[in-house]
Amino acid sequence: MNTSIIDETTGRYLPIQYPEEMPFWKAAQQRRLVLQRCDDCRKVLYPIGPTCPHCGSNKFTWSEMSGRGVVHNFVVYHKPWVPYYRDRVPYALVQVQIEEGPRLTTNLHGVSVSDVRIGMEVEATWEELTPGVTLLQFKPRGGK
Amino acid sequence: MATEAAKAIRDKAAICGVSALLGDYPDRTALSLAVEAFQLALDDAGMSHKDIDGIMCLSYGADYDRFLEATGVETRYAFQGWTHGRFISPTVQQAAMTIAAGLADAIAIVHGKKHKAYGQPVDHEMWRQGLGPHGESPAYGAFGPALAPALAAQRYFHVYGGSADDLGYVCTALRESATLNPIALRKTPMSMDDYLNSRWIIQPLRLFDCCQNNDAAACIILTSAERARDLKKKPVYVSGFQGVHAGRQRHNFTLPGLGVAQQDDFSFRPAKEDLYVYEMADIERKDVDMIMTYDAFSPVVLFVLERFGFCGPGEAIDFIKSEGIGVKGRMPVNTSGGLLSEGHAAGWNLFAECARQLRGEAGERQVKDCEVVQYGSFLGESIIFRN
Ligand SMILES: [Zn+2]
Repeated sequence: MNTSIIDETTGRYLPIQYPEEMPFWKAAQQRRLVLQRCDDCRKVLYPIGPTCPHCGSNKFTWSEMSGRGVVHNFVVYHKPWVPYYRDRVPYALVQVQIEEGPRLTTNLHGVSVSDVRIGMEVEATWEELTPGVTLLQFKPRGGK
Repeated sequence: MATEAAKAIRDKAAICGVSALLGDYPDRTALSLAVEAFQLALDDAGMSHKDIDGIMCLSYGADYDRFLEATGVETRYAFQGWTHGRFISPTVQQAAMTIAAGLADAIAIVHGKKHKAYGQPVDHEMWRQGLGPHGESPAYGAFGPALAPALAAQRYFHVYGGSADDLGYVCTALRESATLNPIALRKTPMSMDDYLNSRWIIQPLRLFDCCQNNDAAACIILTSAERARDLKKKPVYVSGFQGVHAGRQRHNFTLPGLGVAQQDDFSFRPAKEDLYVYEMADIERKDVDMIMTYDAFSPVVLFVLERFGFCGPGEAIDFIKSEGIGVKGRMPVNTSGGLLSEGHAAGWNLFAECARQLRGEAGERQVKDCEVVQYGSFLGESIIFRN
């Protein structure tokens, strides 16, 4: 299995869409955030996976998330690890705790890196990387 | 809790030979460096390669079988894992258990790696979306092992106060120790200003919060305690150990409770069951004369102090400032300068320093009356070495 895919026109790394994650990626193309909710304990599993780490059940339903959350943590990349980021540093990487519980790692759009704070209220936004790949991101709630 | 079975293998194996090569070797292969390290450790032990009947390594330049083919060593116990700092102490533990069980008489743990060579398994690590141990996610620009300690440090300072600048107390202290170490790669003194002027890598981490990245080789030879007593150097007994604690609550380069990725948020204080290494070694924490830890990034020095209860949650910076972690401090940590300043041989050089301190071979950086060295890390894995 490929461990990385690079967009040849931009040099950006594209996400690998693992087969069992396809409901997530298909919903992302429609700008909807869905994750697996356990049919037994009702918690949302994350990262996406084959079983519920909270109760061990293998039964789950892909469910719509609110898309709202809070910045639980962030760091700022100053070193461009690959050429794509040479003109894009500094950029923020955030871990957003969504209302349903899990923490998702994304970038934060619509705010300068010096204004990112733990506790900021954010909501999902979507970044179309290629015609077939739309990536979940977050932005300040009510922001652009 | 340390079981009777664990206590029964206390002091049954010992380190008898060590070596570390750190630097820039443009004309050498990783295999050639590994062989030299092996020969240096044999000399250190006063052994011949025919005395070795076990080999252990984590993936590196050449695999274990290629190494054995090159050196003509025949073994009856070979093991190879994947290079990660958290697996070095379990490898030493496995060697000690293997020897205690009589499955091998003398085991060489061998490492050799070029830092700019391709085709090594670790080269792929930072691109492993959804699989890597540091939160890697390349589509978001989330690359590199420094990500995990940066996330941890950010939460640490958010929860307990302080700022990224405080990590300078760790880096300058370790550099001061490195100035006393002839084989350290970084011997130029580092002031707090030098530290603060180093560039951001992943904020809150600066360049000087990140370890050296150098060509390296190392070898650690273990044998039975009985046999070690007949060899050239004073035995360094493996007195107690405990394993890597892992799970959703134990993200890499992070203390439990800091809220990195899916971790719960709470203040971690070690309970008795988190500290059975002391019981197995039949010592108490207060008997520890110095600590060695896998300081790939400076925040983990804070975390090891809190993980084993040398100070309370959020108190590590104050502990470092008031007690001191230098060679003459109340609790010396990484007296060699560690991976931050001595150099990086996948961490194996940290065990060479354990041995040198316990043999009294550490020269100007010798810790006075050093009898108990604890190797330990934020994930809870630990070994108590004694002389
Ligand atoms: Zn469940």
